Amino acid sequence: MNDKITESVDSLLERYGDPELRMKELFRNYNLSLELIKNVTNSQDLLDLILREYLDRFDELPGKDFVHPTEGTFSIADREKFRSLVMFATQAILLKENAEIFHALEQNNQELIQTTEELKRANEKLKKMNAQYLNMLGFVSHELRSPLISILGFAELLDENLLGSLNEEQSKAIKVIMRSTKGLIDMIQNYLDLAKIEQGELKIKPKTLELIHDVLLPTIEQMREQFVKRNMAVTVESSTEQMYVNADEELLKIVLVNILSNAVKYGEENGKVEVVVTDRDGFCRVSITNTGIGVPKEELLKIFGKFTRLDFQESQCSRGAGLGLYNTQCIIEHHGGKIWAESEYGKWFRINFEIPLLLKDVQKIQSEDCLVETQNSSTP
Amino acid sequence: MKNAQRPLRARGDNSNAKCKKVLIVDDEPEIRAMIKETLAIDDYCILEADSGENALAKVLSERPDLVLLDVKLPGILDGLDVCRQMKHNPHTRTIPVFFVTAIQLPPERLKLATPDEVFIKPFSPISLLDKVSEVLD
Repeated sequence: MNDKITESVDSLLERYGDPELRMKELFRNYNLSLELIKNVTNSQDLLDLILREYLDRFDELPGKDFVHPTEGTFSIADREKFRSLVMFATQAILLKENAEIFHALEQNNQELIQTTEELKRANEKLKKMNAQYLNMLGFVSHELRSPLISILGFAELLDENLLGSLNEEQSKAIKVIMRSTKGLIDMIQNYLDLAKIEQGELKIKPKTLELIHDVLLPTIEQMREQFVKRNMAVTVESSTEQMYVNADEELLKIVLVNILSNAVKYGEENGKVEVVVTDRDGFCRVSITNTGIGVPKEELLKIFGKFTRLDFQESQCSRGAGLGLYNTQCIIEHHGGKIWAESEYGKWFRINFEIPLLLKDVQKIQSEDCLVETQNSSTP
Repeated sequence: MKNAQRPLRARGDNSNAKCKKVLIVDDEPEIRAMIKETLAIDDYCILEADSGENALAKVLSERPDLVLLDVKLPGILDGLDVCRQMKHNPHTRTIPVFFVTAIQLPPERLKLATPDEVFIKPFSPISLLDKVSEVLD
């Protein structure tokens, strides 16, 4: 009999599933009403209650030859029976506690599901709002661009005295107009880039590029005028003649234009801009360093933030969107690369970025192609 | 130095029958006005169009000596289409075309259209004027 009791407790223990269901089964086995323990909150009370109930109905329990523990001495069988009872009570307590935890967990889970749903809805709404905002940003920027380009053009005609001679004050005023307008056009370009990047419009269209001759040198050439105006010397150095990457040409140009314009804007007049291209374990690293005030260490990480303008720069130059380097970082990350900044405050500032190099054999084939071409062109 | 060689123009004096005709194609009136003002310095005759369709019509009817063409244009034909069609037509093939565009064009698209020169907005009006006179004078 004792075996039977223990066995049924054990078999219940082994069963998995809803603890409350298990408890109901356990109680049914022992003819105990669940009502009894409904209001019991602490384990000791529950144990007392179950033992009391059992002692009251001791005689009805399976097995005939037992003596009531309060009326006589315990036989060995009684001890066994009593031990089983205690085990059952302990089991019941554990199960009740389990049931409570289970319910609490279930409730938490329900709440979590609800919260997740709410968050999902809120997220959808935000995404929609962001898309609308980007749309508007793109539209407004585009609409502003043409009039500003026209203003800049007219200002330049005036500045060159092509629409009549200007006196010194007028000439100064025109220069201010030109500088501000250029700043606005740059800013708008950044907004347009951002809108495109974030709307996913600028999906990467990668192709095989030779970074130095296809992208870097043409971009520097395109910006030559800007460097000349600030009397900055630009040098390009590379560890190898060619550097093949699989990248989007247009996006890579935006990256270089953004970094180089920053060098023009924040670098020192009559200073130097050094571009160094190196091969780093399967990555092509481009480091662009300019002499000048640079950025304090604690501000270095901030410069890639969206809409970031560093306080100490405010006095240095006209305002911008604070988007150039954010866009740049987005593009580099889309290419599976990384970008970071270094500076020695007061002396120099450097932006480094790395993008994956094309596999060696692909490169080799391509450089062999080039070789063949040059040989062919020189033979006739 | 260059500017010293350029006498101040006589305003509105582009009725000269011998003057070279430049067609400015841009849907933005402000941009057309700015380019017009720039070219007027060297006394070119100005024609204007605000869409690809109008541009092609003017190219055929007026036979300009040069076309300054925006790439992004409203309507069916954009600047690339206009340029391609001009370069495929034996009657208009020799007319030089300068793209004046805000968008950086991928080289493969440029190769298809084969413009003679590309100016990215914002451009320096002086450099445009220099290039125009280099081609026309």
